[in-house]
Amino acid sequence: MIIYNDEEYELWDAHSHFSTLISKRLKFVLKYLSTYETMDILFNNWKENKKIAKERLERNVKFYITVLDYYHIDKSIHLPVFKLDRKLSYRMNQLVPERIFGFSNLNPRSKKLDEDLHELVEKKFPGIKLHPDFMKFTFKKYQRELEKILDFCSEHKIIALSHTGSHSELTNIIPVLKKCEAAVFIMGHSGLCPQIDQALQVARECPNSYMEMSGNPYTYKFMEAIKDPDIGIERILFGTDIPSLNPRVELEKIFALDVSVEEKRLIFSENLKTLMETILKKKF
Amino acid sequence: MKARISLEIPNYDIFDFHRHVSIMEEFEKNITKFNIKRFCLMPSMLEDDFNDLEAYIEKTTPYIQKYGERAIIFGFIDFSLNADQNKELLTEQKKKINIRGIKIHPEQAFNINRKSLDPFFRAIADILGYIPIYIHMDWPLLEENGYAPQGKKKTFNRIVSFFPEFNFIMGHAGGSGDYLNVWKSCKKYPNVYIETSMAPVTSTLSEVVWNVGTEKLLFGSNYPYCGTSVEIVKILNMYKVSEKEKRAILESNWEGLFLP
Repeated sequence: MIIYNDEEYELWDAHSHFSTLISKRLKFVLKYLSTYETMDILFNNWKENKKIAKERLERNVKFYITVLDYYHIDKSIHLPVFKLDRKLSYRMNQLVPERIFGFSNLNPRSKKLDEDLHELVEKKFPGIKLHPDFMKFTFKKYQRELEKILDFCSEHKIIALSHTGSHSELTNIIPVLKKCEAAVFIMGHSGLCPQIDQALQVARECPNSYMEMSGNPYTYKFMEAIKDPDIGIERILFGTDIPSLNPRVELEKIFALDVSVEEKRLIFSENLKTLMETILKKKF
Repeated sequence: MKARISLEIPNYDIFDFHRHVSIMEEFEKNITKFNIKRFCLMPSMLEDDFNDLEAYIEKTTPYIQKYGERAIIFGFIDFSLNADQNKELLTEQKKKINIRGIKIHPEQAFNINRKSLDPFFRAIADILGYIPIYIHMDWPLLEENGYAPQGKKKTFNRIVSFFPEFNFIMGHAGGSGDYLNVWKSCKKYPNVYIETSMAPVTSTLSEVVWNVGTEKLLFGSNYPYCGTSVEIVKILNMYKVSEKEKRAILESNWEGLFLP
């Protein structure tokens, strides 16, 4: 919860990460994935912090909560960085289900796709993360697999969130989303700079798609989306992409929008709250 | 626990290195609100400025009339023309809108080798001297490339290495696909500066200050496409960077490029 110009805003973060690989020895690599500030929050009192829990996964859940607390984030979607981090997401869902929505990750190129899908239900993941760049797939080439995944997701009330903006024509997801119209698809970063227009096109044509704002600097394009009768403010979500991005900058992107306080609240929390309540069939 | 946050912009005389023309009334409101005292106006690929000199002159002229020395206009070259034709183009821009920098956009489709670029840079030097060269840094993203083309910085560095007499500005701090380690370009080439608008992360900007020096960073807003407050907050929230250094980025680093 934050207060800005005497108005209170709950923060529901639709895009955040953590990893079981957090370790002081790996700081030289982590600097490419995390802000220095976040690393300092964890590493400055590393010996003390490590005592926070004995078990490694539980300790990482608590580290992640420390970061959320530091940035005053009330609730968050956690997206695994690496494949092994789905265990961390699972543990988050066990330990703090009221605060964290731990997503799994799924590669459409997986040779055991059926097993992976089954695991989602078995472990009650509320969502999955797709990453065309890291997972080396395109929406076009893997259209059949994506349809299978999104059909499964809609049947089992699982959200799909994909990284967008760095490769793979984003508009190629349109036929998939039209076919799987009950699936919920979040465009992480809303196409960043290079694909923002494609993200807008997807949002216009597919009412089951959402635009998540982290990392995307184009304020004027989000105003365009808000004013567009085929998109509207209800499908825009706040995201920080912690620990990679600076949450203070991501907050300002919403404050900079020429919309009312109530509309800002929709982006900061209410839109994601509505979505999660629908998916999880419970009230927050 | 609730955190009270606010955008308290210190009373700095901001120099905005990257703006575009907009509706004049809105532009005026924006620079007044954020205390922007001077600014660079850049041609925009989104507005097709690079292909229509007459229109670009027409839209920038009111800004020169209204803001005088407060406005520094950047022009462009045309890679489809030869060197002599570009000299004419540059002379026209010098005469009519007093351009003091050149913006290059990757979508202008030029060959990246010394031999083909040399005549264009010689034309610039002949007509305008060694003025700052701004290079936009989101290289075109094409499906046929398979994945996001890597090595945009590498390409930028190559161009810089050909022409050490010029100062180069890396637009948008590397852009969304190649923003890591931008400080290395500054370290390797002393004639490189980094413009901050649309920088996806603040860490890479802090690294420039830590590893090379504050003077290499130039604040840009990319108005009207990006939120001016967002871009200012980015500078104000740079980690382990002093208030004095932040002030220099927002206020005075541009002087090294334009003042004698």
